[in-house]
Amino acid sequence: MMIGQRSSTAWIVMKHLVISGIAFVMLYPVLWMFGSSFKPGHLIFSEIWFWPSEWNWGNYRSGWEGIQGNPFARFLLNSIVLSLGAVLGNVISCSMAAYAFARLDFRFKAFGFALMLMTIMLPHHVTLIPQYILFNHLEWINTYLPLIVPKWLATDAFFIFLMVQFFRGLPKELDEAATIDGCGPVRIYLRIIVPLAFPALVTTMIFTFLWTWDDFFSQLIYLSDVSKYTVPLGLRLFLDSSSQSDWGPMFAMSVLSLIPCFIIFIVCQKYFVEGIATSGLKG
Amino acid sequence: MMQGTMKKWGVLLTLTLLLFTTACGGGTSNTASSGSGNSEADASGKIELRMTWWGSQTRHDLTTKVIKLFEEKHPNITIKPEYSGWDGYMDKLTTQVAGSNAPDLLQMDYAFLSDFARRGALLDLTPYTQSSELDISKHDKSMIDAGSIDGKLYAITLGVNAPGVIYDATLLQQLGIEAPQESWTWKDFSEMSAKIAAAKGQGFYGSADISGMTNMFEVFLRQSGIGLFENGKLAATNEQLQQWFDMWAALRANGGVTPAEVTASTTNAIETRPISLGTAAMDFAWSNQLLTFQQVNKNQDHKLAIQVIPHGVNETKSGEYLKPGQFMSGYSKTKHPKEVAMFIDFMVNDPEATAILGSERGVPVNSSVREQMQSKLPDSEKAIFQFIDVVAKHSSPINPPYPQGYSEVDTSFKTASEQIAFGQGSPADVIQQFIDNANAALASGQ
Amino acid sequence: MKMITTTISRTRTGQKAARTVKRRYAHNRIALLFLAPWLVGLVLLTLGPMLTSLYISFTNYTILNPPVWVGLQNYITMFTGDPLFIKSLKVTFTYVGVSVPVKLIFALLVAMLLNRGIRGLGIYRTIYYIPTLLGGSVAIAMLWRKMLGGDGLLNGLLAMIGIKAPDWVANPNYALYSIVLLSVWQFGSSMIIFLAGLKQIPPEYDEAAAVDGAGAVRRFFHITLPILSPVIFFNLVMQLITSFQSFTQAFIISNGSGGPVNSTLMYSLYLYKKGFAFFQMGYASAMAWVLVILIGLFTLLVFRSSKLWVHYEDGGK
Repeated sequence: MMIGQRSSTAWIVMKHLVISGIAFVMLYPVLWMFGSSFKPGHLIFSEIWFWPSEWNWGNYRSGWEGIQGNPFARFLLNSIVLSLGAVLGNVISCSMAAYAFARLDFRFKAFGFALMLMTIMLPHHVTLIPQYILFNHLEWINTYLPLIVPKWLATDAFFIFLMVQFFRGLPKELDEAATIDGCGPVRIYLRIIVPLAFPALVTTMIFTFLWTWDDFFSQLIYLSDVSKYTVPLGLRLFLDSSSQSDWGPMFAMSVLSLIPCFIIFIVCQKYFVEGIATSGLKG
Repeated sequence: MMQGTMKKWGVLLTLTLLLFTTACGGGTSNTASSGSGNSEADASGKIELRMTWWGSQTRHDLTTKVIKLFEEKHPNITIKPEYSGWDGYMDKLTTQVAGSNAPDLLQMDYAFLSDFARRGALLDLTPYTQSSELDISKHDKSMIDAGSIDGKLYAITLGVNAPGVIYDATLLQQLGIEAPQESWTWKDFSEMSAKIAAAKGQGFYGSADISGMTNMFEVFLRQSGIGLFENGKLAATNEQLQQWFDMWAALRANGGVTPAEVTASTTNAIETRPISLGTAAMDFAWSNQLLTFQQVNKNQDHKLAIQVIPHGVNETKSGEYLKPGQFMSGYSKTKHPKEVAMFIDFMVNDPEATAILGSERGVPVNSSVREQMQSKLPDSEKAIFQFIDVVAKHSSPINPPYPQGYSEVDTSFKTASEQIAFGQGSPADVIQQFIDNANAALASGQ
Repeated sequence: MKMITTTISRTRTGQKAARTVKRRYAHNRIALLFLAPWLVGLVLLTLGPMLTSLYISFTNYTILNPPVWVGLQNYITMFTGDPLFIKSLKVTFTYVGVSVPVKLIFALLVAMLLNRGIRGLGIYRTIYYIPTLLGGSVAIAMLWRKMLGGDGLLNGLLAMIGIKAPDWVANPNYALYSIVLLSVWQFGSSMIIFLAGLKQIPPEYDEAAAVDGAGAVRRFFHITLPILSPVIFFNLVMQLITSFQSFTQAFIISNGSGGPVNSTLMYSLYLYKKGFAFFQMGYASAMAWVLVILIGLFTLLVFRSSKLWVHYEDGGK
């Protein structure tokens, strides 16, 4: 392997070639989306190469106007509110549950843990209808509640599992020392675990944000008013597979709606690495 | 303490299950349904209806305009629009029906009509046609029949469609090939496809291979006097399926239609069709799609036209038929059935409303509206109206709505056509397998 | 990472201890406080619908009508009278069997490339994460056709060197692999976790081994891999669970059909079609529970096997 090999110039050039080659393949979709967002609809499909033959801002203009007095900015705003609500909920509720599973001794712990894992394994398509009926009885349909409240109740077990992993990586001596100092579990969680595992929480934030931002199906099912629509629903409003689709504006707004994700990722990305490296996986 | 808590959870859990069973109890109790949008008429007599449809931006614009107009004329009624594209529309509607929370007015697709009507999700509109709310006296009889199931009217046609062959008239002219005539046959179609392919060379095809489109196979079947289904069973015989697939196989072999891979990479989205990409000269589609085909075509200077589906060589009757593009239906649990009927009536009969809607969903179902409209049509839409007129003269009535289980049959028909095109298994086996699958699906759908 | 093994061993010792020492569960009350949101969510939002779906799996439920009890019929049909179910199992196993190892190995290799002595690490990391950012966007389906289709970018390149290649997306022999490729392409999350793991290996280890004359390959297998094994384990478990449930990619690429010729009919996709397109929610629910058992078994297998190949720096205690 290449690790530790003497760094000849040729090797460095090679390495950069390989890495940037892969990077181009990775970047191509965004280039393509970007290029397509300037093309008239009928060329998006028939042209192979991403570079537009002419730069045309019309797609951005008509996309931004949105639909029926609902400017695209509204969909963006709705998505931001929804995603932030979900992020906050997930971080708080999942970290609490994870703390219990990682650090506390209680009855039915193993059973609870297994049950939690099982909830990840069941495909959500079959629980959708019972859940809808439940939310309908609570009169939550056509509000953001069915999309946010579950996050506050730690139903995204994936993140509990993830954070359990992080928390167990923190040295137990810290807890013990704190206990001797008279701290109870609540203070240990707030004063030690949360600050030390902060990067883990950031990871959860980013994943939750992106996944909520992308989630088409459940937002479609629960939201009905167009004024409450979010980015994935707004984007699909440009498309109708049974008749006519406005692909140009759809691509323009897709590019635009990637920006918040980019910002979040770039601001937080260093925590991805530092986070897991400093606290998570150490034995 | 732990034990006590567990018991409480147990109680809550049972409650959830109960909720589900009562909600699924269906039609029996209207009181149980507490649809969040179905607000009762309050003291001032205000009524709120919810309405859902799928479509493109154009349709959203036109339909909301009509809603505004209706609200102006009926100040006590407001209509909340809920619209989206086709993807996911049926999933959402199905879920809403399961939750007893569907919108009062819903746009319906022909393929799902019997599923929804037979299972009690749709409002029987018959009483309102007898009173004055919903006037269907000027509607085509075949469209009324198409929206009726077991003698009850469940759906009003919003636009009349007919299947046809869309072709690139400019290209045919350039190649010196005579455009398809109204009397053309499958044999003519095959020859023309091969000729086009030969003239244009590698990578260009006469037509898209649509051997997997159940609707078009149905037209083929109708030409020999039967429908796709009869008494809830598949009516197509082994020989007919064989004939159909053989014809397309021959066309694939001589390059007349797209090869298996190209066909498989094509979806129903008009932008992905070979004719739109400039790699074929013909495609099979519905008449109201002609405009979109024209708009998305790669060669914007080419003019597209539409002709009837080729005739059978010795056909017993014309396979062409008029088909409802989309329906408007009411929800069976609506609290304001009368107002639902009024709005549907407004959409299809009111001169102003129909003028706004135009032919975006297909040619209007009301004959006097149609006549009025015809005079001031742009050329592009005139072609569609003329085509519907042609079909109306020479068509046979539409078959009864598809039985339950149709969507599964449709899926396996497409799979069968792909299997044959890719040469997976002998055609005879594939066909037999399809027949078995289809009948099994239809049996379990009942 | 060690927690999984420890959880298992803890449970065992825990059970033994419980019999003798009752004070073992020191945090019953306070744990309840921390678990309260999760428990409420579990019981009210998750468990109810889950058990309902279990009940539905024993019924004939058309969604529009109330469910009708049919006992084990759905489960029996699945294994005796539904070739498409078997087909979807095969497709899913192929997908999991190929995509999980390929994705993990690719993610690991890129992580190693990026790990040392690269300028602009942050930029590359972001770029490599972009496909993951795009997620299940509708644009992906089109993009994939543009790149791997019959006259796509890849075949254009191949044609330049005289190779005539098939349509990778629309040919039933390759379509599934184009979806595997899509999932591998979205390797960002696994890569980042690997990067984190690699960061932990003290450079001295490698240097010492290099001085001792160990070759690069030897060092990889004897130093990098063992230290990284807990990370590999975590990624493996999560990838297994998500790959068995994989839905979105096949759905968007095949336009919801699972075609051509059902070659991309993933288990979850078939389940969805059964439930929502064919109105057989009872059958779909039964399929879902069979999948739970399947994933559960595989996850258990991985958990059990971890003792043999997952090494913890502290000896696994």
